[in-house]
Amino acid sequence: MSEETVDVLIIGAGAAGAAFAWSMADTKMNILCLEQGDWVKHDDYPGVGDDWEMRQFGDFGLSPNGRGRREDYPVNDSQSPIKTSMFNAVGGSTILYAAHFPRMHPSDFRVRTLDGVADDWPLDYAQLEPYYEVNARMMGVSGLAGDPAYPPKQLPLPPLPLGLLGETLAAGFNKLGWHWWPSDSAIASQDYEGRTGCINAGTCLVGCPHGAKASTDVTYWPLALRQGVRLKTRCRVREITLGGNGMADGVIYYDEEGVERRQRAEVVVIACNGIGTPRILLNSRSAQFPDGLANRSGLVGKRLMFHPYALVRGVFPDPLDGYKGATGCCIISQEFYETDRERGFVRGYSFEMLRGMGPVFTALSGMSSGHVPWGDGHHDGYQSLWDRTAGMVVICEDLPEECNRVTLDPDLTDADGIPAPKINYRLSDNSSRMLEHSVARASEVLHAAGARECTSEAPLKPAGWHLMGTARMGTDPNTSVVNEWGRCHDVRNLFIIDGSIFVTSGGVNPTNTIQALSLHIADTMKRNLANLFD
Amino acid sequence: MTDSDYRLSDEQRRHLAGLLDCIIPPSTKYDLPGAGELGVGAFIEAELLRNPQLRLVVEPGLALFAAQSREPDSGTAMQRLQADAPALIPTLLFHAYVAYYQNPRITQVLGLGGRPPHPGGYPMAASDLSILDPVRRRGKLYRDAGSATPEGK
Repeated sequence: MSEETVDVLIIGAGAAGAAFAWSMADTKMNILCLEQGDWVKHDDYPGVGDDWEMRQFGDFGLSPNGRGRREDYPVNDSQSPIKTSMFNAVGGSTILYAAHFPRMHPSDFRVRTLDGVADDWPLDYAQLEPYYEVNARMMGVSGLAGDPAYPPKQLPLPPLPLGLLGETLAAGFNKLGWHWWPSDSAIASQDYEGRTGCINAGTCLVGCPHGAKASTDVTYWPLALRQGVRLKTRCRVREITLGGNGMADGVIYYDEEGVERRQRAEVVVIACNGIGTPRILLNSRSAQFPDGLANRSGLVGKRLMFHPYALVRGVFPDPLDGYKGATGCCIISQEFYETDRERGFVRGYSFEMLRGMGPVFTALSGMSSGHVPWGDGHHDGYQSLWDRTAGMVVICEDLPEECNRVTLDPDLTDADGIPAPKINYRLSDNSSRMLEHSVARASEVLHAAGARECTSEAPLKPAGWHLMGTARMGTDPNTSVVNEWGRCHDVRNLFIIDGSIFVTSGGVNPTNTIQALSLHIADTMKRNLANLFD
Repeated sequence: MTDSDYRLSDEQRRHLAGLLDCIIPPSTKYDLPGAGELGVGAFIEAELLRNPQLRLVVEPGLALFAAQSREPDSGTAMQRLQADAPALIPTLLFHAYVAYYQNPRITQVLGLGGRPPHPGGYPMAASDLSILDPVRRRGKLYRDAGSATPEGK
């Protein structure tokens, strides 16, 4: 048993934990991070092999239930039409994310005031704006200033190339008079801060061996470690423990050999995102907190938000060079982002363009759709699809509902015997109407761009990669878990800094906002060190 | 014989290659080899080694293919094969497509250089962003939202 007491203990080395560790490093406090995964060696990434496409169904798959890695924990998502996706490693899910890096909008923080639904956040866009700017510098964000869908913002790197595919789709948006813009991407479009610029290999979703994609193992962590933060990998936290004064006094975890260990801490910071964070809190029961730590509001685990996704693809008559370029970071459209009640739903969604499919996925997709038969018609069928598909995903804002929740599965455990999370989730009527609208509009713009036929899947089943809302922030302890700077109302030296504190989801990828929030929380803590627990 | 010793016989391999060439035939039009000629059979055999259940479908299927391939009309032979061993081709199809389309000879013909995406990547030119002019002309799209409410509710 370790008797060392660290000043700050961070649980989780993903997007939020890395940004927080770097920000806190300049305090020179004794900071330790425990991460259940390991470092991913860049030579292990699938993109260096011919079989890179199929490894998306294997050891680099999105679902923790299918990867077979010891560091993963199972998630019972049988009661959800959207299945959970995440990655457990130094860098967390940024290892596999597309690195599409939009900010939330001013209206996203004020949905109750503006649209009469859900709740306003206890902070606003202007308060997060300086942290979005820091994060853009630290992650190395590529993009183009002047997007009329946002307040003015500057980005440190020029946009990634649109390519023939992007230009083709952009022409479709222009034809309809709809908004589009080169995406903000956490992918270096040129050499930046020791990282080499993107080489357009198109393997972003199975990790970037080149290091151009800003997973936090190549951005924040090297700097945080250099400044003295310590990071222990393959250490899985079971529970947070309470001292006699009602404050958190550390954690119990299992090390890489599966040996139970104790780590004491003055401050505990949870950065395990919208499923991992409530799992730890719910596993941390005590006489004072019989329903889980920091859960006097009863909201820990509730209000789970995914972003319901749709995938819409079109087949074009001519080659698009679609195998080149960052997978998910081409162009974005927010034509239907802000509320217009005449559409039949509140709030809105983003379109994000995708590159084309690789050679194996083209074949398998064509096999499923009947376009690529075996036998005599095989090659003509394949050539009609190869490098001729383009499409987009739709990211719908998901409004919080208490029935959508994370609980502990009564039977399922991870390799260390820790109870695993169970998801109960249903699509709301608002989300269903939004998805229906978005698929029709996506098909419309693909046809305008020249597609001869379109296919869609909605909701996209494996798209549970944005995990939000299960320990929401707010100023009222009865209706929220943490305050406006991430401190738990019930346990004043316990902080949450990840997607679980989101009040609403917006209709964009959340990683940039998760990191801006974690930087905001770290900065607020540093300003209040003298009276942090008052 | 243990699982790790599992091998197809030379004759079975020859029939498997023939069957694979029926599934993905060679194409002079696109300058592409058939799947059997390409060596996809070795990939299938590795799958058979990993998954004994597959053998229950493939081994008798190959025997039927061998018998029916002696038919003078190959089209009729394949029709009979599908009738007599309906699971055979659907079972092989997924593995055959995967092995064929990740093979460097094929990715070379498809324009991908016959190599993995890394470390070479692919060149892309910067775009002419004057195509954004219509979007710029529309002006501001986002809503002003005011400040956070004091209650944060």
